[in-house]
Amino acid sequence: MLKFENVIKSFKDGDQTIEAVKNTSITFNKGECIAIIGPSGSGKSTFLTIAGALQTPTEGDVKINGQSISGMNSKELAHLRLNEIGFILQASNLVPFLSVKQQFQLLKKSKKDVMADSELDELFEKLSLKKVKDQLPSEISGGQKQRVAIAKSLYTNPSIILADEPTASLDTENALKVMQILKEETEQRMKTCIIVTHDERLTEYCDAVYKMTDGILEKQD
Amino acid sequence: MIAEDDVENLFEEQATLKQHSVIASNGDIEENAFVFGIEEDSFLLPELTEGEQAEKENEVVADYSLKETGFEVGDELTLSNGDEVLTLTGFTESAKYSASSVLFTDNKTIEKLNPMLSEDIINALVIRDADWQDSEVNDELEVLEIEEFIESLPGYTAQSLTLNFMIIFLFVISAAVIGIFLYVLTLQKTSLFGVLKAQGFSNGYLARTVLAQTFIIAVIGTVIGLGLTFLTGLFLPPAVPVEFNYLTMIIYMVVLIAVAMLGSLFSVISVRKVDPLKAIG
Repeated sequence: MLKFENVIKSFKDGDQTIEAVKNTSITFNKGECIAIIGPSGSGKSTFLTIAGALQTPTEGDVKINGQSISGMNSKELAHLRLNEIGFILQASNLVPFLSVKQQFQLLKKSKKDVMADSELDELFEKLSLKKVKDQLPSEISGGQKQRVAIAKSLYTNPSIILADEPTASLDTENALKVMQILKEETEQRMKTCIIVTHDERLTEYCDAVYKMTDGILEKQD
Repeated sequence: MIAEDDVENLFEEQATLKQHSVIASNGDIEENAFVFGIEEDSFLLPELTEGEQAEKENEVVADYSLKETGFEVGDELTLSNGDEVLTLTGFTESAKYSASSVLFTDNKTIEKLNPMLSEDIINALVIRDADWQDSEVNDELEVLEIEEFIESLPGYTAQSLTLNFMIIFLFVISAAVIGIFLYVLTLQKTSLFGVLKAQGFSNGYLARTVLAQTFIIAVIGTVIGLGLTFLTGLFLPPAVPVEFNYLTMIIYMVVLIAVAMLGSLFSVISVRKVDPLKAIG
């Protein structure tokens, strides 16, 4: 579960103070898949990074599964991210010198509680990644890289999945396949999934759609 | 000059040494050399690498470096300061004094070359005695350990100080080069470290990976360097006075690895400063 309590995030821009996220109080429950849409510069990414404990709010508090991130030091935030949060970003951000299989072995070294090998094989099958297991990121397509990144985000069994334009580099078939998988993971394993996207096709898979405009989050009907 | 009677039977094992500097020529080549006069049964008798011992008068065994310059067994050697002709009967290794080759011969021969070295006069006494310090010697004589003697040779201290300073500065320069190299390697991976931090890898974990990488590179590098050093040594001419001391080289290897690890600390600091937020854009 993800809870924002009167969260404000502001930045100094010369003499001006800009509120990237205006006073926001919202709760996203387990089993919910949420889409956040909005124009560029509206504060979506800032919202996502606060939700992912990559930065702390200027005011207010964020609770991840009941744990407040205010007052956590960088080591504690890193520990929280490793154990509770799965990021899916626009760039796949794979380690360039590790094969697809080795990307997951690296994660397993840091976090013991990961998917079973059989579950990972099943996920690879669903994401059409079985054939590229032993290949380096430079040897696979952009779409395959993004699917690997998605598999990585699910591999560590996070309770919260945060995705920023996860299907940007995918064709329609794969984009919908990925959304289907995210939806299933969210519902079956009671995760909280928040997707920032411009792709309206994806909103159909979500339980709720919010629009971010100038730092204000509003639910859409 | 020492009177042999003054030092007779003072130590457990002792060997007299007479010394005379010459310029030796085989007709084609001239070289500076030191003639050492030793007793027949002396422990200073050189071990041969070629030829035979100098058993008769006017026969000499030379340091191997003279062979490299063109002298051969059987050569007749004329000297710059005298009419005596010496016959080269064999070669030995590592027989140099003050960077000049040594010609080993008997006392009778050297006494002919330098009349001041009469029968009972010697230049030095070489000792093998663990308790040498307990023996009493004439006040006019000085007893030195070989290391101390070498260090007091003219020019030796200046030479070795220069060399040692070169080595120290090489270590300092190596530290700087390795540190900069590792820092650049780390800078190139800034975005990767940022992404890993965003995924939850701690600073401690990433620091350990940097240190481990440095250690592995340093060990491989020093082993390759050691191999190349030995290989280079094989091709160096004997005129270049080089000797590989394995213990010293192992110490240098360890120091270089330690220096590399120290240099990597700058990289570790820069990894700590990587902002995961900037890395993921």
